[in-house]
Amino acid sequence: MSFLSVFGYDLFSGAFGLAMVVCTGLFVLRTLSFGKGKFRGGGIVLAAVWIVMEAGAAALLYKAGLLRYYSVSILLEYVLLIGNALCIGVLFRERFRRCWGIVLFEGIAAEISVMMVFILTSERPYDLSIGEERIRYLLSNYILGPAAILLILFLLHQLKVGDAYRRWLEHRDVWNWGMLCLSAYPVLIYSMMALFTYGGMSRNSSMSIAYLVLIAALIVFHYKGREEWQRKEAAAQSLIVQQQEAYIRTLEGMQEEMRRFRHDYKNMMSGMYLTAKEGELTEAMDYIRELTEDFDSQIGGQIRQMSHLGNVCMTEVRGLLLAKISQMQKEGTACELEVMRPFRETGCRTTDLCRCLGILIDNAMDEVRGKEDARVHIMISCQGGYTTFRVKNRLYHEVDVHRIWQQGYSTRGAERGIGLASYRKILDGYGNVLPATAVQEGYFVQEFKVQERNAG
Amino acid sequence: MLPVYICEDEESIRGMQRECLEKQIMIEGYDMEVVLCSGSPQEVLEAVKKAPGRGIYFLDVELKGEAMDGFALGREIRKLDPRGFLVYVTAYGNLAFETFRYHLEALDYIVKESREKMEEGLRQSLFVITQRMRAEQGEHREYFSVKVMDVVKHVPVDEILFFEATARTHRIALHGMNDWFDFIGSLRELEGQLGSRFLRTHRAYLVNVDQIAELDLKGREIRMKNGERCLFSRNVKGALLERM
Repeated sequence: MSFLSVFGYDLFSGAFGLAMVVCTGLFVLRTLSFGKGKFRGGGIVLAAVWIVMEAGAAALLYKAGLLRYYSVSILLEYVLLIGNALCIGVLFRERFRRCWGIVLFEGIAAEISVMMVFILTSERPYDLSIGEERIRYLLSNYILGPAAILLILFLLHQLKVGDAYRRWLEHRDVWNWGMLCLSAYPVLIYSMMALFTYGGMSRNSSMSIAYLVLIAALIVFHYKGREEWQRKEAAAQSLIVQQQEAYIRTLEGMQEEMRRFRHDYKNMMSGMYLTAKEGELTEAMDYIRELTEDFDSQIGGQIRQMSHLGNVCMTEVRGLLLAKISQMQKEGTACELEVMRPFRETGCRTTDLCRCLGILIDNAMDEVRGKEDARVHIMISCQGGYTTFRVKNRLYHEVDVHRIWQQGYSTRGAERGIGLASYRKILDGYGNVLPATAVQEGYFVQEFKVQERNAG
Repeated sequence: MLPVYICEDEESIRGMQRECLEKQIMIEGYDMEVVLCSGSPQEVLEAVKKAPGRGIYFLDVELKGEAMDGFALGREIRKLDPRGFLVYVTAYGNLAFETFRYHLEALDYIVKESREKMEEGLRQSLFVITQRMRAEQGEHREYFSVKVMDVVKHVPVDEILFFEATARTHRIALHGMNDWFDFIGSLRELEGQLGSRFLRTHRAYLVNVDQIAELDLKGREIRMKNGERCLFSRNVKGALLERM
């Protein structure tokens, strides 16, 4: 086969491979999106250059006869994986670790499809110098192969394996180890193939066994992923129960207040009736004013807080706020929560959002704890496609807005101040989040703004 | 003369507000005039459009039967009059005032309680506005204004230490004496906008020369007055020494 035809075939499979990676990211794992400002058209040129380069390199290696060596094949496989990951990273402005996860997922799905095709078609390697063999090779590689991978991706999509994998990817603790194991799949396949072939097995049987081992490993991973997911689900469920309990407690407290108020109100009403009867209009007016003021101070505040909290539709965030509010109540700190419009979702991960908000609220609480008129102000505001999270508290001592980010910097003594450093680290991971810190009129204000997908 | 606009759906309260404000303007001799007292936000907007300029607005938060509430009206007014004074009047003490202040730079709010308290609130607002305008007249501070997503932030130029290009493209961090925030922009544009007080000392830094404390010529570092450090490149060393 001439260099040009090999190059042509490689060009096709390179482009197809990259397209499959993009499809996997978009539809199966749903981690990529064409969201505004995310997809970069210029990346298409880069992707095209990359495909030409990889096809050229693969064709050269083939012509030089180097692909017979397993080590070269493994190396080529890794180069292709890394190149594809970088390509989608540039195209969709995603972080490399996420792209690597997508590429590995697609790579393994592709390997399984190759195995399916091998089992269906041939028992021995094709001799590409023979015309008929070449047609069979092309048929299996370019028609059956793509059809098989599409089928597998469709099945994975239907079985919601992609969702489980995505959740698994987002879990920081398993990322390093799990990814390291998954990243070893080309080495695993090729070394096992080498081992079995060396042991006298035919190339295709050894290949099938290698793939079967890979599938077994994947099943284990899938099981672990599901287990993790179930654990999270259970934790989320118990969080919801806790929240509901806290909510009920607050409602009961309000009802108790109402009962007490009703009692006072009856007394006040009869008092007012008598004063009005005696023609003391000013006194009657004072009574009315007192009544409304009492209502506002006793129950109005709680109703207000509950209605603002009710505007937080994300269960985890509402849970966090409820927990912090009740903690503040215990500590004698007043919490003013403002969520004027319903807050349903935001463009950063819930876990990250809760961690960041938690850090800011904890810092504010620490600063005002035990002080006279201790007060923390929390605002969540959704306006025109942007969501602002803002925490504000009075400052009781000087703060250097630049040093707070340094690990370990704290005005409250040793072993504090880790919070803000990790807060910064989390937010740095997002392109659509802008943080801000300010000291304004004796208040310390921390905020971060998220640009949502529908931002105008 | 500052025009005063009132938007309130309840006629009795509207009349009371007008009466109180006119009386107070006359007593104190403020250079203001109630030009419109209406229940319709649309009418207020039309009037502001016709006579552009800085004004004072007393707006009801809940405008019954209108397409726009007080917040939306405030937003529209801000587009026409960025420096005007917005004061909100609300029936309940449950106004999310921080949100109003954050998005609309609202000045204050008054709760519709007893007549005395409301009048006190209105008088206080007029007083604060005149105080603020007086302070502005004495001040010739230059401000750096930048849009950060849906809000515009203003920072006094003399309080800015430096701008830093962050690892993410087009993202700039402003380091101020009391502020520190990220926004989308480019150092080159800022360089043109801010003039000679700022010097591009490095690919990633645009520095306020007045805020430099000392230079570390060996390590090519600038130490700012607040202790922060930034870098300078070899070719600006001469310019830096000259400016210091």
